[in-house]
Amino acid sequence: MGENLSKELNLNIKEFKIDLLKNGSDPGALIPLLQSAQDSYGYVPEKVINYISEFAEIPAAEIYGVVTFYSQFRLKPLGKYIVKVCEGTACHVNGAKSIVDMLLNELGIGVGETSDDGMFSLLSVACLGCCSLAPVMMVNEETFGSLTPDKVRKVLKKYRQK
Amino acid sequence: MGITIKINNEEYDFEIGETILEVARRNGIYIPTLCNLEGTKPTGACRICIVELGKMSAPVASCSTPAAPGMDIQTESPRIRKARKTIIELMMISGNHNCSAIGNSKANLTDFMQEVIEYDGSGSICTAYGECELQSLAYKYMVNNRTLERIPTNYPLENIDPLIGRDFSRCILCGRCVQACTEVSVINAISHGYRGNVAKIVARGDKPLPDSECVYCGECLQVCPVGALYEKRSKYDQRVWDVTREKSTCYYCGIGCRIVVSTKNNKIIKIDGSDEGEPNRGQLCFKGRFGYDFLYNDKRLTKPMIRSGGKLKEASWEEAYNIIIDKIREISGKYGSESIGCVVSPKYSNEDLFMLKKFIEKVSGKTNIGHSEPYSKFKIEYSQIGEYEKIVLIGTDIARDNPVAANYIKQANLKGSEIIEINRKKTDLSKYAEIKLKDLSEFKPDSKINYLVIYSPEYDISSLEGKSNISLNSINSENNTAGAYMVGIANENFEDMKKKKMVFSVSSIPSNEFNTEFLVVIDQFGVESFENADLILPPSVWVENEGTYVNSQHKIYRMKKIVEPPGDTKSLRAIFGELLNLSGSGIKKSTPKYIWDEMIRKDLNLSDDIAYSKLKKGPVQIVDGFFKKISLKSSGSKNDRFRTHKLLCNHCEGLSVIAEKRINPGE
Repeated sequence: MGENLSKELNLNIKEFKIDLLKNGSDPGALIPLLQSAQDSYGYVPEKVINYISEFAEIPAAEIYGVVTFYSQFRLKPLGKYIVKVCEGTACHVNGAKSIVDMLLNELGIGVGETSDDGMFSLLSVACLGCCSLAPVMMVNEETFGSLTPDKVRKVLKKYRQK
Repeated sequence: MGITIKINNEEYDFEIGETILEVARRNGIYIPTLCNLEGTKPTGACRICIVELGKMSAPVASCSTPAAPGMDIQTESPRIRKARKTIIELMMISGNHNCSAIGNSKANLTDFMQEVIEYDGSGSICTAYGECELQSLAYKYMVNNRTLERIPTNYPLENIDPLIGRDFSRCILCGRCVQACTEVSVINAISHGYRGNVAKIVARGDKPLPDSECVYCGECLQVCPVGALYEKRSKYDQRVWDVTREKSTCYYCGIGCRIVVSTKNNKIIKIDGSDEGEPNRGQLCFKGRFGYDFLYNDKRLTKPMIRSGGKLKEASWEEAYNIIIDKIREISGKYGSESIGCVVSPKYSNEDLFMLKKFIEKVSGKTNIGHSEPYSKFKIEYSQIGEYEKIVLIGTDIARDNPVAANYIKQANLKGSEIIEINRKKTDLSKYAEIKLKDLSEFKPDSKINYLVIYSPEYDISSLEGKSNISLNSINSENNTAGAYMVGIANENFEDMKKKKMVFSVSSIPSNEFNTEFLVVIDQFGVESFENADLILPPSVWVENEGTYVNSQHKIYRMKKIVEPPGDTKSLRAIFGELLNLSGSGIKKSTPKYIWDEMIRKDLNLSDDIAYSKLKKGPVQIVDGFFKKISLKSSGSKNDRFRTHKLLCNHCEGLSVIAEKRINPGE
């Protein structure tokens, strides 16, 4: 099954497989297994959930419950550009809501989601450590401060054209 | 006096391990609960059962807090009542609980109802109205749900499933359905997903139930305290004030699960497991819970049909009887009376089967009648399965054939019983089995250990017989197989029967297998399943008749008539009572009481202890030796086990897909 899975996903399964064998069917090993899967694939694919379920004898519904409970796990791959918009105190009072609304509107996705073309993922964070620039957001490693809705549109346009 | 706790200023004894709730309930003290599900581990999820442990301590959930010596508990103090009120209010405002006008002072019922219409498309009051446990608590604690603003629902109604509707707007996340799925039926199809204010009950991948491991036992439906899970086919028919409820027995396998039949306007609209105790303790499988509306299928026959000029035409009972009597005379004259035979599926009451047998004996001069069910007996109570450390399953795919028995096995397995499966094939229970063997010869029982063996009745287990540490049990596929054996209808080799010149096929094998001159079919779906029948009679079945049945434990149950039979259908006992009279036997009456008391009991020398009137009080166990007095031919023809189950489920709305997957074909 491991071989087929790796073929189907067209991903490197080696590391994840070792962890799976090491942790065996101990139900307590579920979280390390999911972390290992996410390290290997960048997210937790549904097929991997089914695979762990069969291997570790944990119901798939229960694994799904665990994956959706912890914010560290993703069920979809992240986009090429990860937009982290700050909704911390300083940004909040400086109008972060209008920035978030603009992002939702422009990207057509919700917070925590990835656009269908795989370009953008939108995350909401509590602080980016540069409150003097509020409201602020990051796209991958680049920071954009003193944002206005219009500025947001321009930034996204720049990334779309890259 | 042992260790005690104080509840509401009175001292009560308790045992170590008992929860506060258990001590209170045992002593008749009321503590409200929502998430608590008897027989499963407490989760403490809903908090409604909180009690006071003293002014200095925060309230504790009584369902999950063990009683400890010296505890001084108050169950209805002002502080507790206030907290419960808040808990209920928070639940009420977080969903479409339109049993009351809800929302803050700005909102009104009309706006709220409009929202409900947008959500579920009906705008009707919640389907659980009048039976909802949350609603009744809201009344009890006089909850004012107009102080907080209503929170809209995150998840849309799941309407795709034909049988189970999931209304997430009414889910209070008590988790009873998850408990039922993981600890009662042990299917593990659903679990808690997400977190905080977006929490939801999810199946694999948060997909609808049809795409999950769900086997449609419907335990979740039965335990949902609110209107979040409901039987979809009768969503708004379930109004408690419109519905009549009667207890009866399931129509499918030999376990004979006790059911509660809800009817409205002479029609069954819902079936629940009856919690009166044995054999099923409230549990049911998909067949028992959802497999009832074949009664109302358009294809059901309601008038006798006679073939004339190659086509089947409606006829009166009189015409049909006359043809049968004439044909019997003609065929006995030509080939001798023993060329008349009968095959029957033991799905009919003892009274039905007895009259049928009497008639066949009368016209054929012999007991030319048989069914295809092997003889079996389940010797213990199903709830005792858990008392065995070793459970051996031989040749049986019990989770498909007798799912409720499989529930007990899985529950025992969760508590530590070991499953040994002896089967060449992979079954639904294979994944639970600690030991898997291909052949019985590989099984080497330890003489010091008690084994519970459950075998498929067509499997040869003679090598295990006569050992005191091995309890051998099997379950019939048809509900009244034991009754058929009791009234003297045994397992027959159908190959001989197929060669008879005139055959009465009563809900049994398909007609194209017969080589008769004249084939009489008695079946509710006679026209489609018996293409070359010469004459078809429409029987009334199951809850349309009163009668007695014997389950696989050999307990006799008396069943009430719950609904009126449709059209011109008649019970088998009436049909064959009339035919017997037409062929010269003076049958005085064909009421169930008369047949049981004056015919069956006299015929079989059964004592007054099981007089018809006494059976009303409850089931009676038939003594072990009894079946040996009557002939027990068990030739083991296994051509159509479960065929009737499939046929019936295929005639129920929304059940054919699951029946195709979950009912094993006859081998």
